[in-house]
Amino acid sequence: MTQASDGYFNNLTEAISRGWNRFWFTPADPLPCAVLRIGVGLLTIAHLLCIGSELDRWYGRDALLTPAAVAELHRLSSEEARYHISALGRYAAPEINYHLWAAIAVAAAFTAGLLTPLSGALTLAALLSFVHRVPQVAGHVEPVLAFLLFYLSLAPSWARLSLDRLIFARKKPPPPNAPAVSPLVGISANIGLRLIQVHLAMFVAMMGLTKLYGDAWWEGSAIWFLLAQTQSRPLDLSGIRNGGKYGEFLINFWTLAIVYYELAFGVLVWSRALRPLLLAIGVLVWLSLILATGQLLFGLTILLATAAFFATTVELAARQASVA
Amino acid sequence: MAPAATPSSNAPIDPTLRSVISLALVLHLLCVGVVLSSNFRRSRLQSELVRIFACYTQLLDFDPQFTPYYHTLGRELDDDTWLTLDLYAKGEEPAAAQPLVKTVRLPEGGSNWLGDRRRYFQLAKLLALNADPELENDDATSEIARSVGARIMRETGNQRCVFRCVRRMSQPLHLAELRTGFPPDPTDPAYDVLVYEADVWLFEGSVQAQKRSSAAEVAPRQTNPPAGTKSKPATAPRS
Repeated sequence: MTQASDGYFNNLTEAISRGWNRFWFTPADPLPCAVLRIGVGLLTIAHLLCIGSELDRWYGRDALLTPAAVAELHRLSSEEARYHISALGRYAAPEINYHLWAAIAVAAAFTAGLLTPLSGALTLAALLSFVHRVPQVAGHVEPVLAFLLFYLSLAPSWARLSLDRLIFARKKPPPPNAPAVSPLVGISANIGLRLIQVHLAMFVAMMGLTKLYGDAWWEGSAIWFLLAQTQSRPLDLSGIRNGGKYGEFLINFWTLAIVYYELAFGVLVWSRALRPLLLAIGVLVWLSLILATGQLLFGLTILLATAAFFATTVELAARQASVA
Repeated sequence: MAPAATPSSNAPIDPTLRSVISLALVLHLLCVGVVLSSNFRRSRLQSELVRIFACYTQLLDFDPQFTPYYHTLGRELDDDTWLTLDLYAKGEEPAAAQPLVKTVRLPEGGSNWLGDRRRYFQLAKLLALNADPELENDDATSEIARSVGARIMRETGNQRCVFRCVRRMSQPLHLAELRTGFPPDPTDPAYDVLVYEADVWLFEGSVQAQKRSSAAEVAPRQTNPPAGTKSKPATAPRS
């Protein structure tokens, strides 16, 4: 009995170890990381430009919520808030505008792949300085942009489609017969891409699970509650109710499609057979969520992040084709 | 994605380096998993772990805290809420004794696609949550009223304002379910509920706030939803 259980645990450990190494340490092409870097950089610039419309009113020294008010609200809510660190509260217009333009400049450098690890880290720091200045009004998109910027700064997203590659390739031409990408760069690219995938899967699962708390998502009426908000809805789609029974069915289907998709994503996206189907449905789901909530940048960022799975699917197909 | 550029899949990596990276990955994913699973409700264990990991997860914003990724749960708290400020010139005189200079509504203009209006709604919902009779926190509401009031008074050159937080109740899907007193037009004032009201004024360089009323004290008709019964607010949008 002891021998049998020992054998089982040895086999289990070996299987987990093999699977773990295959998942994380198989070299990958850095091209998907580079494509994601460009997309994430552009979305970060768009986010910063949106913030810029009322920069001093929200983030300046004498903003709607002053640094003292933010600290007091944290104290009153008994939340752990020691790590909301931002220097933005020391500045007012016009100095705070310089901070924004510097943030946009480093985000543009990251997008172009110029000194990518450094510009990526600085872009992340700039994004976080806004989040931590007034966490009470931080939105849905920032936590997604933050993890994408973090992983793409660590991964060799500079190895393709970048100014870094242009500049350094001229200075240091690769030796003849050398692989296009070194094994360590390939492994780093894979780790970066895998981290985005795992983090995104957990994130979408969290989105689905939080919806299960209220009746609205169970009963299929949540989308109606979003469409019925006369002030915050991006489009007036309340005419759907004029469709009577079928209008209600559409609301129910729309609501349940979103919540079931989010709950299924974290599990089914790891199935090679189902992944392409899931990603295709995802485009419809995220676009429909943008229509209902108006969270344009958030929806586009999630869509972009799911491209990390698309890249793996294409790469696996290419490998299988080359083996065949 | 060009297959020709894909490096060899049996490339060597130092086992020690691999072990170190593996350990870092496990720790990182543990932190991320814990904070993501604690987004809505937290056990004491989760709260403690979130506190321990905060130096990493909060600093890098991996922890979405209580960001409402559910978008709505169909509660009163999820309905549109905004702030209005009636501005008056003199700080030392009560509002009733002087003419109204201007009314500022937050948000004013902006786009619902790009997030600029969302920040105002989020702030108003935070105030409304703290004004809720079951979770009432006067210190938090007056802190928000003072800070927002001071900024708008400074912008407009006034010294006193009546600060209001208003919630617009949403209509049910079926108009037939509307209660008496609620017309078909969803923007009718009958749907607007005064959640919080306070006087804010500048006095000897400091900002003072005095609450007038909160949702618990307004007329009963206004607190009835247009139809059915909505669940009570249970958690903060993000605070």
